[in-house]
Amino acid sequence: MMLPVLRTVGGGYESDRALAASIASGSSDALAHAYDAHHDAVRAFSRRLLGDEASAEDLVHDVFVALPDVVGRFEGRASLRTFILSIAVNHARNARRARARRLGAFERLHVEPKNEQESPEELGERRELAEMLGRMLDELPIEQRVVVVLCIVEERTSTEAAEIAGVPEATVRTRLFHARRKLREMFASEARR
Amino acid sequence: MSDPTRERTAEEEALDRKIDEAAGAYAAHTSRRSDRSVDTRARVLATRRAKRARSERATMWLAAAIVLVALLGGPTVWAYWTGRLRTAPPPPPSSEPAPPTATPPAPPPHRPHASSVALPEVPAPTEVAPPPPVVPAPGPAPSVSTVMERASADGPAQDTEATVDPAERLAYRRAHALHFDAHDPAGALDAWNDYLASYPHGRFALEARYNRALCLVRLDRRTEAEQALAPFAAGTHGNYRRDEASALIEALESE
Repeated sequence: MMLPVLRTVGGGYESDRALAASIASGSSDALAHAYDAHHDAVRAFSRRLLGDEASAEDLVHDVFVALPDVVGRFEGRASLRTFILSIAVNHARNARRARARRLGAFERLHVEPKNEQESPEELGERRELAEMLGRMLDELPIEQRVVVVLCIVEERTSTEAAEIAGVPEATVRTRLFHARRKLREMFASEARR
Repeated sequence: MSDPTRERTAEEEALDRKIDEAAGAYAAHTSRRSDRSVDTRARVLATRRAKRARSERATMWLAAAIVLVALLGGPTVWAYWTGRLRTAPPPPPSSEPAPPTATPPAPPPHRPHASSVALPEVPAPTEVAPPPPVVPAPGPAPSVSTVMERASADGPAQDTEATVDPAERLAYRRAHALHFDAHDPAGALDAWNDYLASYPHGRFALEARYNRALCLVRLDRRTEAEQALAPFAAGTHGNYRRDEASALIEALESE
Protein backbone atom coordinates (compact mmCIF):
# COMPACT_ATOMS: atom_id res chain seq x y z
CA MET A 1 0.00 0.00 0.00
CA MET A 2 1.28 3.42 -0.89
CA LEU A 3 1.83 5.96 1.82
CA PRO A 4 0.26 9.40 1.51
CA VAL A 5 2.61 11.88 -0.05
CA LEU A 6 2.56 14.99 2.04
CA ARG A 7 4.48 18.09 1.27
CA THR A 8 4.52 21.71 2.11
CA VAL A 9 3.21 23.45 -0.92
CA GLY A 10 3.44 26.99 0.39
CA GLY A 11 0.78 29.61 0.79
CA GLY A 12 -0.37 28.14 4.09
CA TYR A 13 -1.21 24.71 2.71
CA GLU A 14 0.47 22.08 4.83
CA SER A 15 -0.18 19.19 2.55
CA ASP A 16 -1.52 18.24 -0.83
CA ARG A 17 -4.72 17.12 0.86
CA ALA A 18 -5.18 20.50 2.51
CA LEU A 19 -4.58 22.21 -0.79
CA ALA A 20 -6.96 19.82 -2.53
CA ALA A 21 -9.63 20.51 0.08
CA SER A 22 -9.30 24.24 -0.44
CA ILE A 23 -9.52 23.83 -4.20
CA ALA A 24 -12.61 21.68 -3.80
CA SER A 25 -14.22 24.35 -1.67
CA GLY A 26 -13.86 26.81 -4.53
CA SER A 27 -10.90 28.84 -3.35
CA SER A 28 -9.31 30.74 -6.23
CA ASP A 29 -6.16 31.25 -4.17
CA ALA A 30 -5.78 27.53 -3.74
CA LEU A 31 -6.26 26.92 -7.44
CA ALA A 32 -3.67 29.58 -8.21
CA HIS A 33 -1.23 27.89 -5.81
CA ALA A 34 -1.78 24.57 -7.49
CA TYR A 35 -1.19 26.14 -10.87
CA ASP A 36 2.03 27.80 -9.74
CA ALA A 37 3.30 24.57 -8.23
CA HIS A 38 2.46 22.19 -11.05
CA HIS A 39 1.88 23.96 -14.34
CA ASP A 40 5.44 23.38 -15.57
CA ALA A 41 5.15 19.63 -15.14
CA VAL A 42 1.73 19.53 -16.74
CA ARG A 43 2.88 21.68 -19.65
CA ALA A 44 6.00 19.60 -20.30
CA PHE A 45 4.02 16.39 -20.20
CA SER A 46 1.38 17.87 -22.49
CA ARG A 47 3.98 19.04 -25.00
CA ARG A 48 5.58 15.62 -25.07
CA LEU A 49 2.29 13.89 -25.46
CA LEU A 50 0.70 16.25 -27.97
CA GLY A 51 3.76 17.66 -29.70
CA ASP A 52 1.92 20.89 -30.33
CA GLU A 53 2.65 23.85 -28.14
CA ALA A 54 -0.71 25.53 -28.65
CA SER A 55 -2.61 22.34 -27.94
CA ALA A 56 -0.44 21.75 -24.88
CA GLU A 57 -1.25 25.21 -23.56
CA ASP A 58 -4.95 24.54 -24.07
CA LEU A 59 -4.58 21.24 -22.27
CA VAL A 60 -2.92 22.96 -19.30
CA HIS A 61 -5.85 25.35 -19.19
CA ASP A 62 -8.41 22.57 -19.38
CA VAL A 63 -6.70 20.53 -16.69
CA PHE A 64 -6.64 23.34 -14.14
CA VAL A 65 -10.17 24.45 -14.99
CA ALA A 66 -11.38 20.90 -14.40
CA LEU A 67 -9.35 20.44 -11.25
CA PRO A 68 -11.86 21.92 -8.75
CA ASP A 69 -14.58 19.67 -10.12
CA VAL A 70 -12.61 16.44 -9.78
CA VAL A 71 -10.22 17.12 -6.93
CA GLY A 72 -12.76 15.64 -4.53
CA ARG A 73 -11.61 12.26 -5.80
CA PHE A 74 -8.06 12.96 -4.66
CA GLU A 75 -7.36 10.54 -1.81
CA GLY A 76 -3.79 11.54 -1.00
CA ARG A 77 -2.37 8.12 -1.86
CA ALA A 78 -0.13 9.73 -4.46
CA SER A 79 0.97 13.32 -4.88
CA LEU A 80 -1.35 16.02 -6.11
CA ARG A 81 0.97 16.46 -9.11
CA THR A 82 0.40 12.84 -10.06
CA PHE A 83 -3.32 13.37 -9.71
CA ILE A 84 -3.19 16.48 -11.91
CA LEU A 85 -1.16 14.66 -14.53
CA SER A 86 -3.75 11.91 -14.57
CA ILE A 87 -6.33 14.57 -15.44
CA ALA A 88 -4.06 15.62 -18.28
CA VAL A 89 -3.89 12.05 -19.55
CA ASN A 90 -7.67 11.80 -19.61
CA HIS A 91 -8.08 15.12 -21.38
CA ALA A 92 -5.28 14.41 -23.85
CA ARG A 93 -7.12 11.37 -25.19
CA ASN A 94 -9.53 13.75 -26.81
CA ALA A 95 -7.17 16.59 -27.53
CA ARG A 96 -4.48 14.95 -29.51
CA ARG A 97 -4.27 14.82 -33.27
CA ALA A 98 -1.28 13.25 -34.92
CA ARG A 99 -0.87 15.70 -37.74
CA ALA A 100 -1.21 18.72 -35.50
CA ARG A 101 1.27 17.12 -33.20
CA ARG A 102 3.79 16.50 -35.98
CA LEU A 103 3.46 19.99 -37.38
CA GLY A 104 3.68 21.44 -33.91
CA ALA A 105 6.78 19.45 -33.16
CA PHE A 106 8.52 20.69 -36.27
CA GLU A 107 7.53 24.22 -35.48
CA ARG A 108 8.74 23.92 -31.92
CA LEU A 109 12.00 22.21 -32.68
CA HIS A 110 12.98 24.75 -35.28
CA VAL A 111 12.56 27.65 -32.91
CA GLU A 112 14.39 26.09 -29.98
CA PRO A 113 17.12 28.34 -28.64
CA LYS A 114 20.55 26.92 -29.25
CA ASN A 115 22.60 25.53 -26.44
CA GLU A 116 25.86 27.43 -26.69
CA GLN A 117 27.79 24.59 -25.05
CA GLU A 118 27.01 22.18 -27.84
CA SER A 119 28.60 22.23 -31.25
CA PRO A 120 26.40 22.82 -34.25
CA GLU A 121 26.89 19.18 -35.25
CA GLU A 122 25.81 17.93 -31.82
CA LEU A 123 22.83 20.25 -31.81
CA GLY A 124 21.80 19.08 -35.24
CA GLU A 125 22.11 15.46 -34.26
CA ARG A 126 20.06 15.91 -31.09
CA ARG A 127 17.41 17.85 -32.93
CA GLU A 128 17.26 15.14 -35.55
CA LEU A 129 16.87 12.51 -32.85
CA ALA A 130 14.13 14.47 -31.12
CA GLU A 131 12.27 14.97 -34.38
CA MET A 132 12.61 11.30 -35.15
CA LEU A 133 11.18 10.27 -31.78
CA GLY A 134 8.39 12.77 -32.20
CA ARG A 135 7.42 11.20 -35.52
CA MET A 136 7.61 7.72 -34.03
CA LEU A 137 5.40 8.70 -31.11
CA ASP A 138 2.80 9.71 -33.67
CA GLU A 139 2.70 6.14 -34.83
CA LEU A 140 1.95 4.70 -31.41
CA PRO A 141 -1.50 4.27 -29.92
CA ILE A 142 -2.30 6.87 -27.28
CA GLU A 143 -2.06 4.39 -24.41
CA GLN A 144 1.44 3.31 -25.42
CA ARG A 145 2.45 6.89 -26.10
CA VAL A 146 1.45 7.87 -22.58
CA VAL A 147 3.69 5.24 -20.99
CA VAL A 148 6.60 6.07 -23.31
CA VAL A 149 6.39 9.73 -22.33
CA LEU A 150 6.00 8.90 -18.66
CA CYS A 151 8.58 6.10 -18.35
CA ILE A 152 11.14 6.76 -21.06
CA VAL A 153 11.03 10.50 -21.70
CA GLU A 154 10.21 11.64 -18.17
CA GLU A 155 11.87 8.63 -16.52
CA ARG A 156 9.10 8.00 -14.02
CA THR A 157 8.74 4.72 -12.20
CA SER A 158 6.13 2.28 -13.37
CA THR A 159 4.33 2.82 -10.07
CA GLU A 160 3.99 6.54 -10.68
CA ALA A 161 3.13 5.99 -14.34
CA ALA A 162 0.42 3.58 -13.25
CA GLU A 163 -1.05 6.21 -10.93
CA ILE A 164 -1.01 8.84 -13.64
CA ALA A 165 -2.38 6.60 -16.36
CA GLY A 166 -4.93 5.10 -14.02
CA VAL A 167 -3.99 1.50 -14.83
CA PRO A 168 -2.22 -1.29 -12.93
CA GLU A 169 1.55 -1.40 -12.96
CA ALA A 170 1.52 -4.63 -14.90
CA THR A 171 -0.43 -2.92 -17.64
CA VAL A 172 2.14 -0.14 -17.75
CA ARG A 173 4.94 -2.64 -18.13
CA THR A 174 3.12 -4.52 -20.86
CA ARG A 175 2.36 -1.37 -22.79
CA LEU A 176 5.92 -0.24 -22.37
CA PHE A 177 7.25 -3.54 -23.63
CA HIS A 178 5.16 -3.39 -26.79
CA ALA A 179 5.87 0.29 -27.32
CA ARG A 180 9.60 -0.22 -26.96
CA ARG A 181 9.53 -3.10 -29.42
CA LYS A 182 7.80 -0.90 -31.98
CA LEU A 183 10.27 1.90 -31.37
CA ARG A 184 13.17 -0.50 -31.88
CA GLU A 185 11.69 -1.59 -35.19
CA MET A 186 11.27 1.99 -36.26
CA PHE A 187 14.79 2.98 -35.23
CA ALA A 188 16.18 -0.10 -36.98
CA SER A 189 14.26 0.82 -40.09
CA GLU A 190 15.64 4.35 -39.93
CA ALA A 191 19.17 3.00 -39.53
CA ARG A 192 18.84 0.83 -42.65
CA ARG A 193 17.98 3.83 -44.83
CA MET B 1 4.99 -13.87 -29.69
CA SER B 2 7.91 -12.24 -27.91
CA ASP B 3 8.69 -13.13 -24.34
CA PRO B 4 9.03 -10.01 -22.18
CA THR B 5 11.26 -11.85 -19.73
CA ARG B 6 13.87 -13.03 -22.21
CA GLU B 7 17.32 -11.42 -22.35
CA ARG B 8 17.77 -8.58 -24.80
CA THR B 9 20.05 -9.14 -27.71
CA ALA B 10 23.01 -6.90 -28.34
CA GLU B 11 21.18 -5.30 -31.22
CA GLU B 12 18.17 -4.57 -29.03
CA GLU B 13 20.39 -3.08 -26.38
CA ALA B 14 21.96 -0.80 -28.96
CA LEU B 15 18.56 0.26 -30.20
CA ASP B 16 17.38 0.90 -26.63
CA ARG B 17 20.38 3.13 -26.07
CA LYS B 18 19.41 5.03 -29.18
CA ILE B 19 15.83 5.32 -27.95
CA ASP B 20 17.01 6.61 -24.58
CA GLU B 21 19.26 9.12 -26.27
CA ALA B 22 16.38 10.31 -28.45
CA ALA B 23 14.15 10.50 -25.39
CA GLY B 24 16.71 12.70 -23.65
CA ALA B 25 16.87 15.02 -26.64
CA TYR B 26 13.10 15.06 -26.85
CA ALA B 27 12.77 15.86 -23.13
CA ALA B 28 15.26 18.69 -23.41
CA HIS B 29 13.45 20.19 -26.37
CA THR B 30 10.09 20.07 -24.65
CA SER B 31 10.99 21.27 -21.18
CA ARG B 32 11.57 24.95 -21.72
CA ARG B 33 9.38 27.40 -19.88
CA SER B 34 6.39 28.85 -21.65
CA ASP B 35 6.00 32.57 -22.15
CA ARG B 36 2.25 31.96 -22.09
CA SER B 37 2.09 30.42 -18.63
CA VAL B 38 1.07 33.70 -17.00
CA ASP B 39 -1.68 34.21 -19.57
CA THR B 40 -2.89 30.65 -19.11
CA ARG B 41 -2.95 31.13 -15.34
CA ALA B 42 -5.14 34.19 -15.71
CA ARG B 43 -7.32 32.36 -18.21
CA VAL B 44 -7.80 29.43 -15.81
CA LEU B 45 -8.85 31.68 -12.96
CA ALA B 46 -11.17 33.72 -15.19
CA THR B 47 -12.80 30.59 -16.55
CA ARG B 48 -13.39 29.28 -13.05
CA ARG B 49 -14.84 32.62 -11.94
CA ALA B 50 -17.22 32.64 -14.88
CA LYS B 51 -18.19 29.05 -14.21
CA ARG B 52 -18.87 29.79 -10.56
CA ALA B 53 -20.89 32.87 -11.47
CA ARG B 54 -23.01 30.80 -13.84
CA SER B 55 -23.56 28.23 -11.14
CA GLU B 56 -24.51 30.89 -8.61
CA ARG B 57 -26.94 32.49 -11.04
CA ALA B 58 -28.56 29.12 -11.68
CA THR B 59 -28.85 28.52 -7.93
CA MET B 60 -30.33 31.97 -7.42
CA TRP B 61 -32.94 31.43 -10.11
CA LEU B 62 -33.82 28.07 -8.64
CA ALA B 63 -34.21 29.55 -5.19
CA ALA B 64 -36.33 32.36 -6.58
CA ALA B 65 -38.52 29.86 -8.39
CA ILE B 66 -38.96 27.83 -5.21
CA VAL B 67 -39.90 30.94 -3.22
CA LEU B 68 -42.33 32.01 -5.92
CA VAL B 69 -43.96 28.61 -6.00
CA ALA B 70 -44.19 28.60 -2.21
CA LEU B 71 -45.73 32.07 -2.17
CA LEU B 72 -48.24 31.40 -4.89
CA GLY B 73 -48.88 27.74 -4.34
CA GLY B 74 -49.10 27.75 -0.55
CA PRO B 75 -52.20 29.90 -0.25
CA THR B 76 -53.80 28.06 -3.14
CA VAL B 77 -53.26 24.72 -1.50
CA TRP B 78 -54.49 26.09 1.81
CA ALA B 79 -57.59 27.53 0.15
CA TYR B 80 -58.21 24.27 -1.63
CA TRP B 81 -58.01 22.20 1.53
CA THR B 82 -60.08 24.60 3.55
CA GLY B 83 -62.72 24.82 0.84
CA ARG B 84 -62.14 28.51 0.28
CA LEU B 85 -60.97 27.99 -3.24
CA ARG B 86 -63.80 29.10 -5.54
CA THR B 87 -64.58 26.79 -8.33
CA ALA B 88 -63.79 28.44 -11.60
CA PRO B 89 -66.90 29.70 -13.34
CA PRO B 90 -68.08 27.52 -16.18
CA PRO B 91 -66.69 28.43 -19.53
CA PRO B 92 -68.74 30.79 -21.60
CA PRO B 93 -71.14 29.10 -23.94
CA SER B 94 -68.95 29.82 -26.91
CA SER B 95 -66.52 27.39 -25.42
CA GLU B 96 -69.03 24.84 -24.26
CA PRO B 97 -67.91 21.37 -25.09
CA ALA B 98 -68.89 20.05 -28.43
CA PRO B 99 -70.82 16.84 -28.67
CA PRO B 100 -68.65 13.81 -28.26
CA THR B 101 -68.92 12.70 -31.86
CA ALA B 102 -69.52 14.33 -35.17
CA THR B 103 -70.87 11.24 -36.80
CA PRO B 104 -74.55 10.54 -36.59
CA PRO B 105 -75.39 8.20 -33.76
CA ALA B 106 -77.10 4.94 -34.37
CA PRO B 107 -80.85 5.36 -34.37
CA PRO B 108 -82.59 4.17 -31.26
CA PRO B 109 -84.41 0.85 -31.40
CA HIS B 110 -87.75 2.51 -30.88
CA ARG B 111 -88.41 5.81 -32.45
CA PRO B 112 -89.94 8.17 -29.97
CA HIS B 113 -92.96 10.12 -30.98
CA ALA B 114 -92.17 13.35 -32.62
CA SER B 115 -92.16 16.16 -30.21
CA SER B 116 -94.90 18.61 -30.73
CA VAL B 117 -92.98 21.45 -29.15
CA ALA B 118 -93.33 24.57 -31.14
CA LEU B 119 -89.90 25.64 -32.24
CA PRO B 120 -88.96 29.23 -31.95
CA GLU B 121 -88.44 31.06 -35.11
CA VAL B 122 -84.89 30.84 -36.25
CA PRO B 123 -83.54 34.32 -36.63
CA ALA B 124 -82.02 35.46 -39.84
CA PRO B 125 -78.32 34.79 -40.15
CA THR B 126 -77.50 38.43 -39.99
CA GLU B 127 -79.11 38.63 -36.59
CA VAL B 128 -76.80 36.06 -35.13
CA ALA B 129 -73.63 37.22 -33.57
CA PRO B 130 -70.62 35.87 -35.40
CA PRO B 131 -69.40 32.74 -33.75
CA PRO B 132 -65.97 32.49 -32.28
CA PRO B 133 -63.41 31.40 -34.84
CA VAL B 134 -62.15 28.50 -32.81
CA VAL B 135 -64.20 26.18 -30.69
CA PRO B 136 -62.17 24.33 -28.11
CA ALA B 137 -62.23 20.60 -27.91
CA PRO B 138 -64.73 19.09 -25.54
CA GLY B 139 -63.72 18.94 -21.93
CA PRO B 140 -65.19 17.04 -19.05
CA ALA B 141 -68.70 18.22 -18.57
CA PRO B 142 -70.05 18.81 -15.09
CA SER B 143 -72.83 16.67 -13.76
CA VAL B 144 -76.39 17.92 -13.84
CA SER B 145 -76.48 18.42 -10.11
CA THR B 146 -73.17 20.21 -10.12
CA VAL B 147 -74.31 22.51 -12.85
CA MET B 148 -77.53 23.22 -11.16
CA GLU B 149 -75.87 23.83 -7.81
CA ARG B 150 -73.32 26.05 -9.42
CA ALA B 151 -75.98 27.89 -11.32
CA SER B 152 -77.97 28.50 -8.18
CA ALA B 153 -74.91 29.49 -6.20
CA ASP B 154 -73.63 31.92 -8.76
CA GLY B 155 -75.24 35.24 -8.31
CA PRO B 156 -75.37 37.87 -11.01
CA ALA B 157 -72.36 39.57 -9.53
CA GLN B 158 -70.34 36.38 -9.94
CA ASP B 159 -71.06 36.02 -13.64
CA THR B 160 -68.04 36.36 -15.77
CA GLU B 161 -70.15 38.07 -18.36
CA ALA B 162 -72.32 40.59 -16.68
CA THR B 163 -74.31 41.12 -19.84
CA VAL B 164 -75.79 37.62 -19.71
CA ASP B 165 -79.10 37.32 -17.94
CA PRO B 166 -78.73 34.75 -15.12
CA ALA B 167 -82.04 33.21 -16.09
CA GLU B 168 -80.78 32.77 -19.64
CA ARG B 169 -77.59 31.22 -18.38
CA LEU B 170 -79.55 28.89 -16.14
CA ALA B 171 -81.75 27.79 -19.03
CA TYR B 172 -78.70 27.13 -21.16
CA ARG B 173 -76.98 25.16 -18.42
CA ARG B 174 -80.01 23.06 -17.83
CA ALA B 175 -80.23 22.08 -21.49
CA HIS B 176 -76.50 21.53 -21.65
CA ALA B 177 -76.58 19.23 -18.64
CA LEU B 178 -79.44 17.19 -20.06
CA HIS B 179 -77.66 16.91 -23.37
CA PHE B 180 -74.05 16.19 -22.43
CA ASP B 181 -74.26 14.84 -18.89
CA ALA B 182 -77.58 13.06 -18.67
CA HIS B 183 -77.42 11.98 -22.33
CA ASP B 184 -81.15 12.52 -22.59
CA PRO B 185 -81.70 13.71 -26.16
CA ALA B 186 -85.44 14.03 -25.80
CA GLY B 187 -85.22 16.01 -22.59
CA ALA B 188 -82.37 18.06 -23.99
CA LEU B 189 -84.36 18.82 -27.15
CA ASP B 190 -87.19 20.16 -25.03
CA ALA B 191 -84.75 22.18 -22.99
CA TRP B 192 -83.05 23.62 -26.06
CA ASN B 193 -86.45 24.48 -27.48
CA ASP B 194 -87.38 26.16 -24.21
CA TYR B 195 -84.18 28.15 -24.27
CA LEU B 196 -84.65 29.23 -27.88
CA ALA B 197 -88.26 30.10 -27.25
CA SER B 198 -87.27 32.35 -24.39
CA TYR B 199 -84.08 33.74 -25.86
CA PRO B 200 -84.21 33.48 -29.65
CA HIS B 201 -81.50 36.10 -29.90
CA GLY B 202 -79.76 35.13 -26.71
CA ARG B 203 -76.12 35.00 -26.09
CA PHE B 204 -76.10 31.23 -26.55
CA ALA B 205 -78.67 30.95 -29.31
CA LEU B 206 -76.25 29.78 -31.95
CA GLU B 207 -74.89 26.92 -29.86
CA ALA B 208 -78.38 26.06 -28.74
CA ARG B 209 -79.52 25.66 -32.34
CA TYR B 210 -76.64 23.41 -33.21
CA ASN B 211 -77.11 21.31 -30.09
CA ARG B 212 -80.83 21.08 -30.84
CA ALA B 213 -79.94 19.75 -34.30
CA LEU B 214 -77.77 17.12 -32.66
CA CYS B 215 -80.65 16.04 -30.48
CA LEU B 216 -82.78 15.64 -33.58
CA VAL B 217 -80.06 13.46 -35.08
CA ARG B 218 -79.96 11.31 -32.00
CA LEU B 219 -83.69 10.99 -32.03
CA ASP B 220 -83.45 9.99 -35.69
CA ARG B 221 -85.70 12.82 -36.80
CA ARG B 222 -83.72 13.10 -39.98
CA THR B 223 -85.69 15.62 -41.94
CA GLU B 224 -85.84 18.04 -39.07
CA ALA B 225 -82.22 17.36 -38.28
CA GLU B 226 -81.14 18.10 -41.84
CA GLN B 227 -83.18 21.28 -41.86
CA ALA B 228 -81.60 22.36 -38.60
CA LEU B 229 -78.10 21.54 -39.77
CA ALA B 230 -78.44 23.07 -43.23
CA PRO B 231 -77.68 26.68 -42.23
CA PHE B 232 -74.51 25.56 -40.48
CA ALA B 233 -73.40 23.42 -43.41
CA ALA B 234 -74.10 26.27 -45.81
CA GLY B 235 -71.81 28.54 -43.89
CA THR B 236 -74.57 30.87 -42.84
CA HIS B 237 -72.83 31.16 -39.51
CA GLY B 238 -69.36 31.35 -40.94
CA ASN B 239 -67.08 28.48 -40.20
CA TYR B 240 -68.88 27.65 -37.00
CA ARG B 241 -69.69 23.92 -37.06
CA ARG B 242 -69.76 24.04 -40.85
CA ASP B 243 -67.63 20.96 -41.39
CA GLU B 244 -69.35 18.96 -38.68
CA ALA B 245 -72.79 19.88 -39.99
CA SER B 246 -71.82 18.93 -43.54
CA ALA B 247 -70.51 15.59 -42.35
CA LEU B 248 -73.68 14.92 -40.39
CA ILE B 249 -75.95 15.76 -43.32
CA GLU B 250 -73.87 13.59 -45.62
CA ALA B 251 -74.09 10.72 -43.15
CA LEU B 252 -77.84 11.15 -42.76
CA GLU B 253 -78.35 11.17 -46.51
CA SER B 254 -76.21 8.14 -47.06
CA GLU B 255 -78.24 5.97 -44.72
